[in-house]
Amino acid sequence: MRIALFFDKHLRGTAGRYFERAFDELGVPYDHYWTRQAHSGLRGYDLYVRIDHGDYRYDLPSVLRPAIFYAIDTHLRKPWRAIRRQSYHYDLIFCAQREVLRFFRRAIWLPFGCDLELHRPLAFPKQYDIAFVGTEGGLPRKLLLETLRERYPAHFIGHAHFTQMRQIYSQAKIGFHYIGLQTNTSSYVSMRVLEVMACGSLLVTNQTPDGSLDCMGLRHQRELVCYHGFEDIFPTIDYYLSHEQERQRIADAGREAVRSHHTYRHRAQTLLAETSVALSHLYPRLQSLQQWLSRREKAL
Amino acid sequence: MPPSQFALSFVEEGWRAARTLSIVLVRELQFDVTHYVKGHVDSTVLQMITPYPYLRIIAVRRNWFKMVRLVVLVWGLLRRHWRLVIVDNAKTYRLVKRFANLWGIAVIEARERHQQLLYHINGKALDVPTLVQGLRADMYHANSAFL
Repeated sequence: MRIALFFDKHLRGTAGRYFERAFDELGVPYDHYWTRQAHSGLRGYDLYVRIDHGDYRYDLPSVLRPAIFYAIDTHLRKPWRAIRRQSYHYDLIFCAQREVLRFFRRAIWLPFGCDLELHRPLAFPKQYDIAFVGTEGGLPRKLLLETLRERYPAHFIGHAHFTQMRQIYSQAKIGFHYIGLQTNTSSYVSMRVLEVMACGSLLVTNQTPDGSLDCMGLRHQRELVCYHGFEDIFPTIDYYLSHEQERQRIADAGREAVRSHHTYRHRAQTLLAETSVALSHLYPRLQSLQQWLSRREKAL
Repeated sequence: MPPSQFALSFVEEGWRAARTLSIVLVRELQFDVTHYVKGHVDSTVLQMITPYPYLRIIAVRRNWFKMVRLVVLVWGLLRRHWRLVIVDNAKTYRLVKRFANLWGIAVIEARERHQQLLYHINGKALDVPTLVQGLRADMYHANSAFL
């Protein structure tokens, strides 16, 4: 069993890197290629996996089969058009967003995960009341973030290198997240949700309309806290800032849930298992992947 | 004391830089500032924003923004209303600058880059204290030519 993994390594903090590390952990034999190398006569692999890295200039040629694509940037207008155009060249699509599954012929929901190497709690004192690592975004996010800055002077709200994330969230009592609700495709469980929880911070977020958080087993007041409407943001944050034990209990439960079910290792396992189930009748050689996975699971 | 100077702000790309400057203008220089934010904003979100006297935020739908921008600008200029205009978009800057040259108002570019708030007047970078100092000098000294 041999897998060809396609994604570009321009950035260090991309999903492709996380999957690469997960394959290493699982002991999956793979070779990495940049997407532009796909046309240089690569043959002899049992499975071709492409991980979305935000550039759609190159695609896998039709001779490379069976091919699967993990589409991530489906919430962005231009990448979404490119993903839809290229999706016909793949046997199976995995989507990070649940809402977009209906647009593809054959697609499976595979939410983001966390990498325990990068996203784990560090022993720092909790010096921030609230933390948010990311861009300002559009409306209303930029207004909300500035309001949080003004209301909670002990904060970290802004951009940071992905390697600093665990340090920032480990120092924060609460990690804030806002799921955009403007369109169906903008509401999804982003990487931040799992990163905050993996770092041992309490996640305060709004609920996705399609209930993705519940489907992932992340429940309100058990593993995370959801605010219901904008007017509920400040009361929720104030309450959990003043109730330390409750905050810590939920944060710990969230971290445990993420560690045991939502790492990229789990995602890589799901990706391979679902592929072998969905495509082994078309490509009999994938049956060996199924056998290999069950052997590996027993060994682990 | 009611404000004697009026500032206009067109918020299209950022928010933090314009907001920070407007608070300083209102608190330290007794300005009256009106922000016109491009895009729909839920009224609940607007209510959450810390209120300051003489600081208004008006959200304008994207389709209407261009027209509102022109109307507000011309109306204020004809009445000799605006002392300065804060912008964060290159196109708006070019438009406002054309009017500004005719009527003699100051245009401040307010942007955020890598967590830093950047302010430019006529291509010259300034920090908030220098900006406030210059504006104050303009207000109280007849021979000051900061703007």
